[in-house]
Formats: sequence, structure tokens, C-alpha cells
Amino acid sequence: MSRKKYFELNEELHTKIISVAYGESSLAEKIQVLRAASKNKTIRDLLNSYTQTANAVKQIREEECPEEILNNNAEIQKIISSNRNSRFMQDLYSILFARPLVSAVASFVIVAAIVVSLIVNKPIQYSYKYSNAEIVNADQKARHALLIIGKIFKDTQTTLQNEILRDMVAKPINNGIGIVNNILEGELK
Amino acid sequence: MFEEQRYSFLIQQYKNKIYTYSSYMLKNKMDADDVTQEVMIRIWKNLDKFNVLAAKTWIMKTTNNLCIDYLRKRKAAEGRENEIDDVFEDSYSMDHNSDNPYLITHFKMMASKVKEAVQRLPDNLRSVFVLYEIEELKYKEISMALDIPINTVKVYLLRARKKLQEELKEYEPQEIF
Repeated sequence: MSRKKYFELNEELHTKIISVAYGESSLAEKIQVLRAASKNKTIRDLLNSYTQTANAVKQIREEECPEEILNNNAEIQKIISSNRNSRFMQDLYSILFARPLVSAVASFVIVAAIVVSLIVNKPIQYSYKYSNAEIVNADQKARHALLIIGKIFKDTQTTLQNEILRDMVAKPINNGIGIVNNILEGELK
Repeated sequence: MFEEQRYSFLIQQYKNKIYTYSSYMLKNKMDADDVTQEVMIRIWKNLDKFNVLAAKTWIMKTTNNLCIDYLRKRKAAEGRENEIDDVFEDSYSMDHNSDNPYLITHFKMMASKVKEAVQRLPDNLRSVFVLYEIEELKYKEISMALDIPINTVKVYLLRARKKLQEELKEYEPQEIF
């Protein structure tokens, strides 16, 4: 396409000018239109007028529906006022008396829940009592068991510190460092 | 009980859209009021036929169909068209926050001229233009409301913008400055 034709107004460019003016164009289209507008006064004027119109259109807002449209129509007013006037008691009345099946089912569920909770949460009666000697014997056995557990933990700690960490971890690491030192010293010499 | 609440919600949500679209399409306050009331009654009667999420499309489609019916009936009638100032209030945005009376007057006149020009558009172009630019519906929503393909919506919108520009050529900026 020749340079002259690029900046001439045609149908395609006209469509792009409208898109740019109404803010719906891609970046490439916008650049093309702005370049064309910079070179061609007709295009520039057209873009300006479309932009002015688009800005004016964007300023237009919806009309407010007059309230008398709702107020002057009996049928609409009846529906809206029945909604405004509904109160808690009216709603309760409609549930309890206007719809007896719903209220009967709800009552049954509530009563069943109360009965079940009373049965399930009945307090347990303890009939058996321990003597003092049995209690003292049980206490001594519990202390003995705790002592054994404590000894096992202590032995484990000692083994871990003195044998495992020293022989299995620290010694190999030290050996490795020593080898590396020897190698480095040999290279320096 | 719940139906009334749904109905009230829908009415509050869409009453301005219904009234605005009717006003632009019919160019007559009385007819716009009638259509708005009729749509509200139809919403109540058909409340169980659509869900709240799809309400916008259904309501605008019903409004459009009623407007078309009124326009057809009115074709033979004469002298029922009011001036735009009788139909519309000065419903434009004051986002520029200007106290300059000169600028305020300019914007008012511009908005008034644009509204007049929109009313002179052909019916098919005007419906798409109003739904897109003023009611801010999407292409798909307009397509479903007007029962036309999406590409047709885009073409009509482009033609409407061109036609609007031609209509406004008579409104010279020099008149202001």
C-alpha cells in the first residue's frame, strides 16, 4: 500500500475512526488512526467530531422512572404493598395456620429432638467403689511404670550422644576434613 | 411471600431501564408510562418462568416487543409525538464537576441535541444504540433481547453511530463559542 493511500479516508478507516472515538479499538488501530489523523486534516476533523459525540453519548444516563407509574397502577400497588406490610406475625400466621402440614412436621421434629437429647444425655450411675488399699496399690504401680519409661528415655539419650553422634557422624566428618586438608597442603607445596 | 420480595427486587432493579428504553423507542411520555406499567405486570405474571440471573434479557425483550406493538398501532396516528424536552429530564452525568455555568449550559445543550438525534434514528438502529450505549447491555444480551444475531447487533451499532454523526452535523460547535 502506498504512503498516500494509507492516509486516505476509506470505509475501513472510517470504521476504525468510530472504534477509536468510542473507545473500543485495539492499540494497533488507535495508533493507525492517530497517525492518519496527524497527516490528513479531514481524518483529524472526523475523529474529533466523532470523539465529541461519543463523549456526549457517554454522559447520557438512564431516565428515572416516575413513582406515579407504580403508584397509579392498582395491580402493581397491591403487590408492592402486600410485600411492605408483611410483618413477622403475619409470616408466622401464614406458616402455622395457612400451611398446617409444615407446622405439624416442624413440631414433630422439635419434639423428637428434645426426646432424643434427654435419652442420650441421661447421667451414668457408678455402682462400684474402690477401697483405699486398691487405690494405693494402683498408685504404686503407676509410679513404677513411669520410672521405667524415664530410664528408657535416659538410656536413649546417652546412646545417641556418646555413640551414634560421635562415632557415626562426627568421626567421618572429621576424617573427611582431614583428607581435604592434606590434599590442599600437598597442592600448595 | 418470597415471590413478592423477588418481584420488588426486580422492579427496583430494572424500572429505570424499562422506562428509559420505552421513552427512547416511543418518543411519547404517555405511551412510555403505559409500556412500563404493562411490563411490570407481565413480570409479576411470569415470575416463575425465569430466574433472577436471566431476568435482564427477558425484561428487555418483553419491553422491546411491547414497544414494537405500540409503534405499529401508532403508525396511523398523528400528532402524538412530543418534543424531547417533554419526555426526558436532564439526565446526564456531571462527572466533570464544573461550576462554570457556561460549561454546564454547553453540556446540557449537547446532551439535549444528542438525545434528539438519537430519536431520529430508524427504529432498528435506535433500539440497538440505546441498549448498548445507555442501558449498557452487552452484545450477547442485546442479541437475545432483540432476537437478532450478534453480528447484526454490531453492524446496526456501527450504522447508528454513523447516522447519529450525520444528524449532529447541523449542530455546529461555533454556536457555543
